[in-house]
Amino acid sequence: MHSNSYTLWYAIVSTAIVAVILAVAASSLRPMQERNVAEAKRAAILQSVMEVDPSTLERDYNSFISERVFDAQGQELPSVSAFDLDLKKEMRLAPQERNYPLYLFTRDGEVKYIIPLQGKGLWGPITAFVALESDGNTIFGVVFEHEKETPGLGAEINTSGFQERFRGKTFFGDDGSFQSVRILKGSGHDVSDEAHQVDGLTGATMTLNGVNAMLSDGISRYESILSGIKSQPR
Amino acid sequence: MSAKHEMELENGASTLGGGAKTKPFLTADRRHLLTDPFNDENPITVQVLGVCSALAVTTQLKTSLVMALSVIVVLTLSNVIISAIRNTIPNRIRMIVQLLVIAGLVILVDQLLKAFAYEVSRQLSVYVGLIITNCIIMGRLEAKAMSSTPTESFLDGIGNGVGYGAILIVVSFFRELFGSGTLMGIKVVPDALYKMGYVNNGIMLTSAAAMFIIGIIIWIQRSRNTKLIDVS
Repeated sequence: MHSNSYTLWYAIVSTAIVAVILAVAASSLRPMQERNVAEAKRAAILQSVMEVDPSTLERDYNSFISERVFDAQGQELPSVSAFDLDLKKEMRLAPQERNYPLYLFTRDGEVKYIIPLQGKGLWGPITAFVALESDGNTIFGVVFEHEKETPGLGAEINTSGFQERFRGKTFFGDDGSFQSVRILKGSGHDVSDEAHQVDGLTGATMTLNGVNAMLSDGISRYESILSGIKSQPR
Repeated sequence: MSAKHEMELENGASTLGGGAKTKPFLTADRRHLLTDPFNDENPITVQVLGVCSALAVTTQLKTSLVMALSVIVVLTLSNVIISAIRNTIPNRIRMIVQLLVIAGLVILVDQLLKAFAYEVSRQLSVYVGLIITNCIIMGRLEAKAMSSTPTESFLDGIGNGVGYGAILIVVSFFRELFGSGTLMGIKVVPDALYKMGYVNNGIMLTSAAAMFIIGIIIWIQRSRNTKLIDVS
């Protein structure tokens, strides 16, 4: 039987040793981890507009994408880096105080606007990159990412089969008013004639409610930014 | 399949043991530490440890492989560490010390994965907690490492880790094949079959399917090995 003081010291010393080891590991690995996170983000941005090849990712990103940041009134903020903005932090601010990042994809004279969005799924945060055609209305491609949605149900939002359903849908009506794009409850709907509706996923209603809220809330705030940038001479 | 594994292991064991001159490294007792987890002492089907993680990670072959590998590494290392310091650990706080070692190792593995295998770590992020709370690790520390030499604990850790991984791989093979039509993320069910009306089985993606498959494995194992059958 060990004495009380031995037990106490044993607990203190062993905890301290483990703490030091973990602290050293975490701080020495951080640069590599941050590089991985940034690379995954670049891949997701590009994936909304083109096939991503990991070997040319860096070069493609640098040559095709330009990053912009706007305030809520649609004024460009040249000093802020779009890529380094933490959308989770921005979402905690009042809408008129947020920074609004926008990625411009330019290839062969064609421009596409990529809007990053942040929302809530059923179990955790979800993010999206929505690529719009040069009319700032028609969806060219979307990428959804999630942290902990249920595999096989809510997690299906980041499969290409689901994301392809958004192509060609439009956010604004013929009169120019914001209509958003809404995912229907359940699957098997024929939405080929509906410009603002997308077929849903059975068993993933709560996750898709989060996606719907993210899209309607997020894209509507880009209305003035998009109309401003479209009228800009290039 | 367990018989085949055993043979492979024994082949490996004999070449390993041949290197030592005086006394073979792998005596019969020690060899049993490696081979028993495949049969009479399988952590999942006989000891019924680590079932929760076996349900959670087995939707895809790839995540199962990574989970199995992580558990082998963490289980072996924590077995050796705990066994090496077993005589210094105060009895009253031994569980806390075990947990400290396990949690420290798991966080270390997680940090390394984030730095060197980011894709894998993103898929595993949900399951990291499952390694810490995996009853196999605590169970083996209590049952083996607290009362054995580091060498024996090392072999016990590998044996149980691989025995656990083998079940995970069998379960995830069936779940991925019938649930998603893929293996290791590569499509194996031909399009022609889908055109003929074949559909992926949605229930295979839910945890219930893992329960069924593990149940069937236990059934087959006990029908072949009657001494495992509980008479009570």
